[in-house]
Amino acid sequence: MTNLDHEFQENDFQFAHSAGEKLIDKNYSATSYAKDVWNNFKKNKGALIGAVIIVFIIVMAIIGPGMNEFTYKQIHSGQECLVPRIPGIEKLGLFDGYHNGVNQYAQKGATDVYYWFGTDTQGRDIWTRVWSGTRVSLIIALAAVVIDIVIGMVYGLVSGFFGGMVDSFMQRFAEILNGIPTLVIVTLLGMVLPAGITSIIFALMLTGWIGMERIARAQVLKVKEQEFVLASRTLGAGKFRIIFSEILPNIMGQVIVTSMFSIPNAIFLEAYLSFLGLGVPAPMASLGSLVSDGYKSMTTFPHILIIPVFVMAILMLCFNLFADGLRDAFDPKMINK
Amino acid sequence: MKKYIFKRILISLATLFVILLVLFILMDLMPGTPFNDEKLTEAQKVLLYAKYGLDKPFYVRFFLYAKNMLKGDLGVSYAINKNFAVSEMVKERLGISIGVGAMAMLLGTVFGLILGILAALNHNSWIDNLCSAISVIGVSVPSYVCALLLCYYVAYRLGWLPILYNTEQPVTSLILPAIALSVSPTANIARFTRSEMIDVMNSDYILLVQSKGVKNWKMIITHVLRNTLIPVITVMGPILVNLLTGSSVIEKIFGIPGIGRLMITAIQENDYNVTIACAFVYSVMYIVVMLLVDILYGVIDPRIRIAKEEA
Amino acid sequence: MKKLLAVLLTLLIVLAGCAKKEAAQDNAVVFKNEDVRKAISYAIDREALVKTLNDGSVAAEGIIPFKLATNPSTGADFRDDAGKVVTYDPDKAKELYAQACEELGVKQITIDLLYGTNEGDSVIKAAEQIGYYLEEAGYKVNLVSKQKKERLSLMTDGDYAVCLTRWGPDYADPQTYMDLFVSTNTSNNSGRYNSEKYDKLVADAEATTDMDERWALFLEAEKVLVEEDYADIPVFQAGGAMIIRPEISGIEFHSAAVDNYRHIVGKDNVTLVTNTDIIYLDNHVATDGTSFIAQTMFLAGLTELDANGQWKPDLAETVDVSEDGTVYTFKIRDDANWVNKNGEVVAPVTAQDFVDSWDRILDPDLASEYAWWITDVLLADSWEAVDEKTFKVTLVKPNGIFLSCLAFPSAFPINKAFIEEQGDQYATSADTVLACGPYILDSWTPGYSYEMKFNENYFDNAAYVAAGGASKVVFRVLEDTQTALMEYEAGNLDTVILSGEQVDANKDVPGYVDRLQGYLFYLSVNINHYGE
Repeated sequence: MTNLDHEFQENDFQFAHSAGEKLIDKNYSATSYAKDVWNNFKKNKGALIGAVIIVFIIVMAIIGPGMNEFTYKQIHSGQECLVPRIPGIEKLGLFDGYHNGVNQYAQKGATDVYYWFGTDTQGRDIWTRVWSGTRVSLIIALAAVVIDIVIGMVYGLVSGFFGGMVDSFMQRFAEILNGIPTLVIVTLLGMVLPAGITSIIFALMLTGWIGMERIARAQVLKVKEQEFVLASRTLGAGKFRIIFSEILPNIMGQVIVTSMFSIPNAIFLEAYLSFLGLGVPAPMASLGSLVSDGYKSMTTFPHILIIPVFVMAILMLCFNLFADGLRDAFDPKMINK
Repeated sequence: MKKYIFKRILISLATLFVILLVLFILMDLMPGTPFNDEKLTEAQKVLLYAKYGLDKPFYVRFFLYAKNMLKGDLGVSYAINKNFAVSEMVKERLGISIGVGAMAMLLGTVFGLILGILAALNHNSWIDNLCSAISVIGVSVPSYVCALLLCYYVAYRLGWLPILYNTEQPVTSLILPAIALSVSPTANIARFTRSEMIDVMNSDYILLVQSKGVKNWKMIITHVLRNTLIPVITVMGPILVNLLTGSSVIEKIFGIPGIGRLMITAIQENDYNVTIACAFVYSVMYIVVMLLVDILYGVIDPRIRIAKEEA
Repeated sequence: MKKLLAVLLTLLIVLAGCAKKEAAQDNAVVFKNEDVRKAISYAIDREALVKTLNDGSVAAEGIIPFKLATNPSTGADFRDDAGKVVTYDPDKAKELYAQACEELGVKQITIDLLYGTNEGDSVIKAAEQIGYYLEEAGYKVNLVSKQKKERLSLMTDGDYAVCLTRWGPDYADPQTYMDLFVSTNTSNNSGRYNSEKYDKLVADAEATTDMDERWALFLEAEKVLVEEDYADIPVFQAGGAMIIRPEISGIEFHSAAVDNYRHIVGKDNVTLVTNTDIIYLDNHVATDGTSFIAQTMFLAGLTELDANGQWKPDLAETVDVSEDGTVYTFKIRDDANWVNKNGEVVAPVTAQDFVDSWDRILDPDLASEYAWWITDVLLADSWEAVDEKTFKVTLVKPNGIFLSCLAFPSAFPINKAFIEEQGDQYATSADTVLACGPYILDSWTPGYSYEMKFNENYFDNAAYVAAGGASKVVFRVLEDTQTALMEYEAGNLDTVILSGEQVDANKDVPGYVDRLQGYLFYLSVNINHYGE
């Protein structure tokens, strides 16, 4: 800006185009931001597939447990560790109840019973447990994302934008909270709070948002010195307008992606919390607790582990596809392309 | 800059003091006592409390502990290895955990960056999708499942590496745990690098660089990577701390006497001194890494450096 | 954006609101009702439960475990004499539950079933199974999981309803269990079971010198506790499935005493698995099985137990008993010596070492958890060193288990001079302990392993060598059973502990062992301790 001793040349102000060329303006109909987002999102095949599978899993989490005659806590003594057996498909030699060449169902005297996903080490139907566990984990996932965005992002935004003393103080507070291992904090929570989903959400509120806070703050630091913020400020925009309508849309992409990655952390934290007596109380299951239980039979009856891990991985894959689509759709730079 | 760093170090020390205080308060609130064994009578418990000075008021214990800590004395263990000096216990195990953690961090960073950069450069192609799928699976499959898979196939079936940690093969027997630990950091770093790099490549200044005719690879190294790495460092800090302070499940699976396992046992056994020591090691690492990240930030990003010099 | 946030926030609040409060049930009244407790006992299918656990555990038939104690006259197991005092009858359980509801004037009875999450997988599984059986009977069950320390502190404070807990016997006598439930035992009788009849039976049994009468009184007491009052509800006795490399033998398991690893033969250099580390090497302060096993290897007592649990002399060359059975005189071997880590003889083991030991464990300043071993189990009244190698003990009254209980580390000798020399460092490493047993503690890396090597100066060493005894025994601390099994199959370990999940696949592997442990898991019902 200081380099103003530039001399203008004579031809500096001539049209670049040849004189004969006609300049025709294109007319665009005004579309709302929301419509832009939706149009962009629609174009992304992966994101659409992701969204459809997420809806499917949500539907299964609601109706799945009721689809057969078993309940998630019903114990079938003598029918432990059965491998999956599905009527119809069993004729193809898949999911036919054979384990190491032995028909387990015949061996355990359960020839007319079908456990679609098999049974666990206590003789409980894995199908109902997986879907009711998915239900719990979906709620936790939602809570994790909401907490990430509501607490983590806002905290990071404010801290990064205002800087100075505010930033310093807020960062020290976050450092103290994060400088104490999560395990120590949640162990104590286990004493104060009753077991259940509310307690899990509370535990997440205490510790789950700090990763996001740091990322949001870093993004703000990167963005806030950029020209469009300056422009907005020169035009007299208030601080909160700058934060929420200038900076926020520009960091949204990273925020969404990060919040998706906080989901598995939250789901596995829940499994540890159940161990401490803070998570969903047994015999109720969650994907996290199913995975950590299944681990114990990984070398002997891998189906107990594989099924919840598979549901979890699919769920995560779809959340990410969906989030990617969302991020591209929200990105103002992508919208007008 | 020097003044800023000095100020920042002072603040970090104060933060650590506050954390120690909070830890002490948390220990005080812990349910049960370290001596709460079925076979101990109430009178004996009182005696043991007196013996270890646990009957003194809170502030007396805190300042005594802080004073001893400055001398390197972290007290003795009450329950895990009775009467052992905690500093000895922590020192031995921390070394192993740092070894595994550093190896895992190295693997995670290298593979994470490669995956992330590959994905970003081939945005929306099959390579991108593959890299994304790998990183998504990396975060949704817990490390202990990866660990057991590695143990079973690489070590047990193929016999390429030792199954469990042993002191005769201190390096080779730590490779598998390090790989298992690096899965989730790889995924996180890859994912973050990718989205950050895509952001940078879509930005106006890269357009400018491109239109200036700077060669592609040169542009990527000097302009894109540099701007991508700044936020990546923010996520790497906490990941590094988590890796260096050990993972209890991985240590359990491979039979590693590390600090992660020690802390879990200490919490379960209410071994106050060991818990505080392990937790405080974590705190110190966290605060130091955060400090380094902040300083590094300034070095990499000129805008922040200038802002801080002015401040 | 703001709308979205508002919607999400409302959702959260709704979710939080879903955890509704139920009308409180007065546990102080509910569990005083005998039918409530009776229905619990009838509802549990113990046979099915242990089948699910699949780790060698067996269904409990009473509060006294199998293979704990034998009839002084006939040698029959306590359980054979007592028979089964618990019954599984789901229909009766439902009936009793309905009756209990009627008596209490409530529609439903809720049981908060407390259990520990870090006390082994079988506890978690058992709690879930019990919960299911109780729900089948009609109860509403909330499983409350806590870590062991917190669970114990809740029990001590009486802040629980029903708790799945366990007791490990200290010695081979019914008294180790019977003492738990007398009304004066406020440390262990967490439910504050208070029955004059039971108290009197136990007191009479402990007072009498007639061993047969004592036996009969204990049989009666168990019936009162379990079958009449349903005060504490036995569930299962812990098992332990493991594989021991077939060429190795000589590991002697005892369900009511410390396992004996002194006579391992078949391989020179043995690596064994332990799932917990040594906690303390000091035989007066240690309280856990792993530490005790290590101590029986590098230390020795006046007697030791053979494979059948019968005592035989160890450091004692001769044992003389007075006619009334109250005065024992031991002649300590001339070749019993204290050796340091390098195998050099430091001092002879003298009668004074035993006197010092028994004095030390009773020293209130030490606060030893096993101080009562000398007074309440051995029933020792006074002890003295008659001369350098003669140790004399006078008992309060004749004690049938005196000699076998001398094989317990709490009664082992100490070298006072060495302890004083080491000060605070005593027993914190392999360098700061002395050995007088068949092995020497060669090294100890906490959390990783500890190693024992032959003690050349142990009197019986020549016999061990001749029998092909292991000259080096390494204990490897491994908690994960799956990788441990791989390591065993790879040939790097000589024993491995199996989890219930692994049993079916390994039942037919050579060397598979299904041992019975002494731990009895029972439901402690909080009868009188609530809200005190």
